[in-house]
Amino acid sequence: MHPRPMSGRWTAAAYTCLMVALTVAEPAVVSLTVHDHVQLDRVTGTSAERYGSLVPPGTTPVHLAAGTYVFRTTADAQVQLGEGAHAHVLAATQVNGKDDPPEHMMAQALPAAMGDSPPDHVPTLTVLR
Amino acid sequence: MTNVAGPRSVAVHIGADDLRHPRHAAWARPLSCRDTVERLARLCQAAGIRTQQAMLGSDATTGRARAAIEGSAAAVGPGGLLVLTFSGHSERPVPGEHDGGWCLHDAAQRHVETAALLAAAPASARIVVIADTCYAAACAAVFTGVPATTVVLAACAENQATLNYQHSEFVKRLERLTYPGGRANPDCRSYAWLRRELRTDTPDVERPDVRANHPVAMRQRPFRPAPQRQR
Repeated sequence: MHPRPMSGRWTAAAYTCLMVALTVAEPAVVSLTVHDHVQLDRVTGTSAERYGSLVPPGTTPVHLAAGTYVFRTTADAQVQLGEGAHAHVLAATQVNGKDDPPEHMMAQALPAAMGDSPPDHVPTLTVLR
Repeated sequence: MTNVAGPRSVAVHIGADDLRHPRHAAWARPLSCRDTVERLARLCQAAGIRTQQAMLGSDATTGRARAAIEGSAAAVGPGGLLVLTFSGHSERPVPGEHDGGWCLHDAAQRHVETAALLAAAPASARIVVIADTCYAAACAAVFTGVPATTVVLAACAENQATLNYQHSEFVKRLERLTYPGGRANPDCRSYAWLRRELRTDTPDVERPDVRANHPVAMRQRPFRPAPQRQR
């Protein structure tokens, strides 16, 4: 068998991902501005479950109960916290990498990827209060 | 009547959730492997595939996986069906170095090695690979060289990652679309249909894919078993 040669076919397929973790101390409304279709997951122990419908491109207000949530996106994202919202927002892509040091405590509660490499490109997260 | 060797339907399931290679051992233990193997074994059973073997945890070594894949590929015979499933961590392809691979108990098994093992199947056989892992579709590019018609059902693209959850949303959806409750979904008539449905309502950062090394395969009914052996 002669597998097809692999000349440079991966160069156009960069792995681009920003993972955002939101920890909400009490029910809050946050506005997510994203450029692609995004799935919000609620972290439950060592795993997570899907939270609500897909968030479409644009700005969407999302009602969150107390807890920790994650979403991933392929482009820059903005999180606008409501006035007085008790929330913590973190760009978690690097925190969750397999080669990260254990002192990144939040990583213990967040899901990791099922692969070995960090993204080639990490989009930018902007947090507005 | 004497037995007449005919095509067979065989499934091999690999759930690599116990990694001992130094490069892999520090990673988070994959959480969904056993659930994925159970679901996919159930799916195959519902599809009429009676011969199945599963390798989990420390049993999922490169040696056992190679033997099972090559042996099963050779055993299906002309017109037979082999379903190969993998759940666990993956190594991403590195341009100029390797095409990526699946992380098994003792080491990574490169996709090019798996392709060589699958080549033991006759050209008239059909192979279905279910990759429930990161960079899942990467293997499809390598499996284009497999003589048998090969369809890859991938949890995400070659440049995407899946997250380590207790249950694989991709596998749950695959089960629901093909054999919900163990009964064939009459709407699931082709891999093209399955691809469309698997991708619907998924985030851009993690979108399943279905790829075939022969375009005509996309029109085939998913998991259609080989005709029964004649006796």
